[in-house]
Amino acid sequence: MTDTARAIAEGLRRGDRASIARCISIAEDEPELFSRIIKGLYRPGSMPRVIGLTGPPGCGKSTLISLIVPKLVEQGHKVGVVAVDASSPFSGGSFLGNRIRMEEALSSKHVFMRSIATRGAKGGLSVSIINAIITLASAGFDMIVVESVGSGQADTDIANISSTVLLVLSPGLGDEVQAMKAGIMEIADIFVINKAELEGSDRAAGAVRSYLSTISGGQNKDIALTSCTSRRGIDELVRLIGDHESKVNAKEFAERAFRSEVSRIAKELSSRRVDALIDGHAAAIGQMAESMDPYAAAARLLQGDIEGGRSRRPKR
Amino acid sequence: MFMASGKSRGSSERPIRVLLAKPAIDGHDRGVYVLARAFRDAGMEVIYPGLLPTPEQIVDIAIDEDVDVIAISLLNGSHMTIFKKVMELLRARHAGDVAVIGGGIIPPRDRPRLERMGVTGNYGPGTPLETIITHVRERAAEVRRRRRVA
Amino acid sequence: MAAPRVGSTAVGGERQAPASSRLKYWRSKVARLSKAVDSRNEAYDSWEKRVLIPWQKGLASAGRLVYTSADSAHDGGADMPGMYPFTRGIYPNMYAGKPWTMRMFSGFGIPEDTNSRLKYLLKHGETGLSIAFDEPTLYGVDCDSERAEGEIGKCGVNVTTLKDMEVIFDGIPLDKVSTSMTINAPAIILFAMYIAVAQKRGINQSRLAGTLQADILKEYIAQKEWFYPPKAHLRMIRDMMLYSVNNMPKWNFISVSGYHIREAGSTAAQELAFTLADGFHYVDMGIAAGLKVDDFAPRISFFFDSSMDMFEEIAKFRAARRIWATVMRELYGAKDERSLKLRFHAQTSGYTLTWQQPLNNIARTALEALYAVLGGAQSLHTNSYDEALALPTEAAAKVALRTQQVIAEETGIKDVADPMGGSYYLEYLTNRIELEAYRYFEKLDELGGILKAVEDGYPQREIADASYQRQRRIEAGEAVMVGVNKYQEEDEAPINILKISRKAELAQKRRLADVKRSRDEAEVSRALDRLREAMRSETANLVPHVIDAVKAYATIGEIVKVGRDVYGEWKEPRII
Repeated sequence: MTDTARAIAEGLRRGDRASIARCISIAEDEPELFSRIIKGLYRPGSMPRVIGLTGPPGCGKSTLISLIVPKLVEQGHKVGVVAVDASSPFSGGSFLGNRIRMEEALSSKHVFMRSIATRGAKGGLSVSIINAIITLASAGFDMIVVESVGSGQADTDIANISSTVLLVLSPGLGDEVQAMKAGIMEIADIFVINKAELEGSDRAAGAVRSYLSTISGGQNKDIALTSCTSRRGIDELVRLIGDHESKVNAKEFAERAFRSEVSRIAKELSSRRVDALIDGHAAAIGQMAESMDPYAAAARLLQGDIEGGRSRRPKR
Repeated sequence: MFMASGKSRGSSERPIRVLLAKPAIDGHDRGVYVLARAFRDAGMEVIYPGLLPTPEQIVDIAIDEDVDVIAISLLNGSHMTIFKKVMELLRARHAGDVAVIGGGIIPPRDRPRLERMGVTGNYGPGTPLETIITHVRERAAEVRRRRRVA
Repeated sequence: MAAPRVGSTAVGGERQAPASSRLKYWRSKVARLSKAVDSRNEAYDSWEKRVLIPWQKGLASAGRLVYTSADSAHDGGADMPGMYPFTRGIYPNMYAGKPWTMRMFSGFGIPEDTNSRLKYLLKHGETGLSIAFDEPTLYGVDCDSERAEGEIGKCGVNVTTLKDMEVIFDGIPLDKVSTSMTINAPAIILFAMYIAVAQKRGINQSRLAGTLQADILKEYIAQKEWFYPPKAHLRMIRDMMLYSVNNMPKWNFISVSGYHIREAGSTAAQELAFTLADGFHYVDMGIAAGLKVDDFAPRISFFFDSSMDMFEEIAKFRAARRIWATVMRELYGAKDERSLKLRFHAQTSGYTLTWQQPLNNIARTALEALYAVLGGAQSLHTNSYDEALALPTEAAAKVALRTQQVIAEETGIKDVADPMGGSYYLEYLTNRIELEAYRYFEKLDELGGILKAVEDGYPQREIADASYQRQRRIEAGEAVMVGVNKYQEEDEAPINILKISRKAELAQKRRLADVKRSRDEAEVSRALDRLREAMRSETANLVPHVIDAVKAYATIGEIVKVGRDVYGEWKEPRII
């Protein structure tokens, strides 16, 4: 192991924030180095619990997290927070603004927060989220709160790696209906009607309840009404999360989340490999246009069999 | 547009991460929002912690988010005090490898002193966004080179 | 006077008219105005075809090139100044009767500096004082706090305790001057201090005249200076409103401000719409608190930006008067003419100033000042040319004041009321901006009213979008800023700028230490406890309790902290 890697591994062991932070970046830049760093730190079989929050933009997820996390810390957890924002499909850039409403509440040495962009993870889980979770787990964090972007496939994927899924809704925006359409209702464990101080929160809770009565297992799911302005319902929500966590089958969760992570990482690594192959053989691939069809070319590329096996082994 | 912005997975580096902060007790945030969008549209990941972060918070966030660049906007004349504090804290926390860029209402006579502290850019109102973006890219590239060697 | 009826909804926007009938009202306005604004002009179409296009060798123009009488019709009432709906001005003789007030913002350094500046102004005939406070004061931060370091006295005068206010107004006849204070979030504290200074000198509060720039909604929308969640601040505005209506006949409890909205990058129409919507919210609050509209509406005044687009700005001021008068009469049933007249202070735009070739800013400010006068402003502040670089020097501030004097004395502009009225284009633009404002009122009520929209970040988002679009157009060279993206120069000679020493900081800290040594700590905590109790009750009026606290020499930071304990803090909604 290089000096850098050793220093960072040592930092993770001590819980040094700069090392944790740098390690998450390394996971993206140099996966092999990352793998070496966490070996020996990551304890197989002791997955951290993951609380996934999803729900439409503007429903108050960030504020809710800022109120829940200090309570989890009080319970003795070391809590990681991973807040996800969408990357622009055009520029690849993103605005990571979840700290605006979290900053004050999360300044504790038992909390580490990282903002993450989806980075073109089309309709799926960004591998960056998994990198952050693995790093935090390796640094001894036992509970990770993930705030998702609040739409589409990425949210369903977050459910796969979560031990408890919270669907956050707020009254008055027709959220209930949208959420039902999106099929997120089935995967949520706890339904949170946030901004309960607003008119229509009882109606929203009623709509959720009547929908749950139509799906199997729906009666067992909890509904919480919370108000971040008055802090009403926060303790109750934390209790519900604890209850649900205590009912989670640890082995089953670990296997499910692990499968999901492995699959996502494998896809990421192979996609990088393909990109590197294509970059490394741009000219050769171009020449194949005269002699074969695109399928045959792709097959040879993947076999590393370009121009009679003269292909270089990619560095990445 | 997709490719032109330099974003093709695998073959390009991950986006530059910038912490955009407005630490003085001053709420005029038109400029930072314009910059936030410009940086995002230039393919960067912009971390914005809201109004009035303290120098301590700025440094904490810069470390936790592992940013390449901290871009600080100051309009109310407190730049010398605040930049000094940020630079000192970065050094004290062994995070001196982050690039710090300034902007806002900064009188020309203060610019050399800021440069000596390591704060570059120091752009005034009306600076073309392109100029600022190019500068951020240059500083971020330096930072990444340095980190790789380290 | 009716006993104030105050409930939890009183500040949350209980409506005079139910939401549905309000929406219907806005929609009827939109429908009527869009007929006037969007209808085809056949005379133009035929002129374009037969004259313009052949002249341009077959090319059509991107936009309308000329306006005619068919574009400028309005059915909104009398077309004369001093008559409803006051489009052409609130007084029949306008500046021929009384020129606008040249109200220059002052306040810097330590209270002694500001005191001597105010005395100088009074000696030279000014009666309207306008005081700027520094950022620590505006954020309720005591001068000895670490947070205040480097900011004391920089953008205005520093006030930490009543002692500072006593020094600022030392030797100034509070019963003879009118004082405007730009103070926003801590408005109730500075208001209480002003009253306390007067009381300690034996001047009855009923003789105090002045204006508080206490509009907190525009803070959440634009300038972003607040302590608590919106409802808590609104409750304080309600209390100041009730207190001044009951005790201080010459006190204007609120100046509703569009200036900061515009400076945050909004369009002219957004500035107008959000400001008036804020104004209507304060009217709603007064009514919900049990007041009759004509008992308090005459005390509401406005503050607008004057920016670079000549006709748009003049049209904005005219539309503002027309909308306010119309809505106050039709929707709120105001009968007192003073409730219908929109009085406004204007300031030239800061964000149109450039640090490149700063002397060009004198030209910009002169033009903007001219538009405000053509638009019928009651008072005007002109910016100094060096403000894109630092706080103004005395020399630069003098040029700014002289600019107003040149306009007033050399141009003949005072002789005729609304001299631009009747211009087809201006009348058309006035209609168009009015229409855009009504469209926003409709949208805001669809979102649940201005307060809800502000809490959710809607106006903030609209403004950030507009601001980014503008910046993009500048970058692309579509919008020109001379010296910035056209006619640039290399190697500009630097100009002299004001440097504020750290002396102010030391002096203020010393004074605060003295105050803390000599005050009765038990009395301070008793006063703060009583204030805390009052804050917990929805119906109590906080003003007398704040007066007690400042008289005990509680600091601004201590008083704000009591509010934070009761109400909590507020973080802005994300808008990207």
